[in-house]
Amino acid sequence: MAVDADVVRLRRGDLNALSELISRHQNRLYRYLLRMVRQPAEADDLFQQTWLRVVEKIHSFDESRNFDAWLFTLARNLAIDHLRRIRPESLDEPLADGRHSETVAERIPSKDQTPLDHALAAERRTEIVEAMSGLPMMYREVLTLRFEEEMRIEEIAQVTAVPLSTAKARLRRSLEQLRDALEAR
Amino acid sequence: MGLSEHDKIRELLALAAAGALTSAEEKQVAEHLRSCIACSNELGAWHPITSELRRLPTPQPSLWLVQATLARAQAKLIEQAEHDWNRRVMICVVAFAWLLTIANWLVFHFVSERFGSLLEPQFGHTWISFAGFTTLGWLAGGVAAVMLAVRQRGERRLA
Amino acid sequence: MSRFTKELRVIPNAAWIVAWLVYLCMTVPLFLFVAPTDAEMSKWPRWAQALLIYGFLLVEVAWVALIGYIYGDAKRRQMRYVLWTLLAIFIPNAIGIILYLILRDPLPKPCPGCGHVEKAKFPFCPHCGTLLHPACPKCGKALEPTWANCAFCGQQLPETSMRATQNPSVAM
Repeated sequence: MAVDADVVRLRRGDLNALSELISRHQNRLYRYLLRMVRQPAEADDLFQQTWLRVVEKIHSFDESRNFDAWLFTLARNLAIDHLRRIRPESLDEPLADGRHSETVAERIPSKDQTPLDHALAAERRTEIVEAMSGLPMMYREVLTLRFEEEMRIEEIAQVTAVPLSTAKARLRRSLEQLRDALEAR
Repeated sequence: MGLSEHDKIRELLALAAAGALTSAEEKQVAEHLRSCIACSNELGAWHPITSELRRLPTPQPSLWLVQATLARAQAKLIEQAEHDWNRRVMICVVAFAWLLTIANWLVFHFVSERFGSLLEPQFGHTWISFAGFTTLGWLAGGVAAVMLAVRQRGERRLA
Repeated sequence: MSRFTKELRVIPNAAWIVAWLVYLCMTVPLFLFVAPTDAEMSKWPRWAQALLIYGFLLVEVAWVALIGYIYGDAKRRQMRYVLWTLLAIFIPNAIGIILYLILRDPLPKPCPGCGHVEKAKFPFCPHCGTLLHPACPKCGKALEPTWANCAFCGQQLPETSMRATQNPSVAM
């Protein structure tokens, strides 16, 4: 793993390195936090706290490790702590939806009923974002990490600190629940 | 009992649409899709969702937020560097203080051995005078510290 | 320039001159006159005597340099530098120096309004009146700009222009 030059400079106290690092990661970090907590004001606050935590802990960060994964782990921990204080119910992992018994026929969307075929792409995206915000936090997180951050499932398992099989199951269930939410509109 | 092949593949379809399968699993799914229309359709039905998920607009942090964050983080970085530096200086000065204490002892020893006869007999005991000198120093320091700290506490109010 | 060399420059040149002068005045007579005639030391080889005398008395140079540092540092921090220097000299075994390091004021920053440098703890610049550091109107303690209430006494803080202009969406 190539050592990030900016990280090395940051450890030595270089202020410009900090500026570079923030601007490189700001959009992705903010997007992740916003998906997690859903409120822009809270995401703003967590954004600041994450970077302050980075400065605090940069000396204990092993330079050969992946800075991205570490940054997201810090952000995740802060977001979860925050949610635990403010909205603890939003952290509960939902039970399995138990829909395995449904036949395939019920799942095939028909052209007349499903809004998916009719909505314009942009509208669809807005709907998707709204539907996502209705999902439990664990599901929102895995969706944003997979599709917006484009992390591989192994990286997702690492950042969310769960076994690979759990991460896969969460991804599958989150997609299914998202689809249900979209069809219910 | 175990799920049938078909059911197992169905479970993997969502993950297939998300591109989160291992190559072994992908081969399995591809195999099955060649013969199963229902699953092919279902996989196709995932496509609108997953493709739009990949193209969601990125919410951006406001310029103010980034600047404020940068300012605070930089201030923190500087403060930490200060703190580190002060700690190092303090360690060195404390070591120096002990060095001086030892040096004083050597000087006392040297002087009293050679010139002790010039002074009153009771000052011939080097260690008494040294102990007295050192204790006086620490006492004076302690008293001054307390006095100054009390005054400082009062002065910390700004307005 | 490293932090160390930056701090070294605070020491006034006079301190260095005094330090090395005293060093010479002490080491040379000791080495030339006292060491050969002393009962114990004359038994040692000459180089050992030199090492002891010249090496040992470097402590004196360090001490005078530290006193000089305190003089210069207290001055730039707008403290009572004469008092602190005397304290550092007369409280033995460098304890005065340690005290100073613990209790010293923070470095004052130039006023953003007129550039004048005043004590770090003043909330307003005495020359142009610019607010230097926000302070609570009730208890007088230093505040962070983003606070809505004072963290020490709980006083609700007025909506200052600093807070309002920071986040336009909040001000709405």
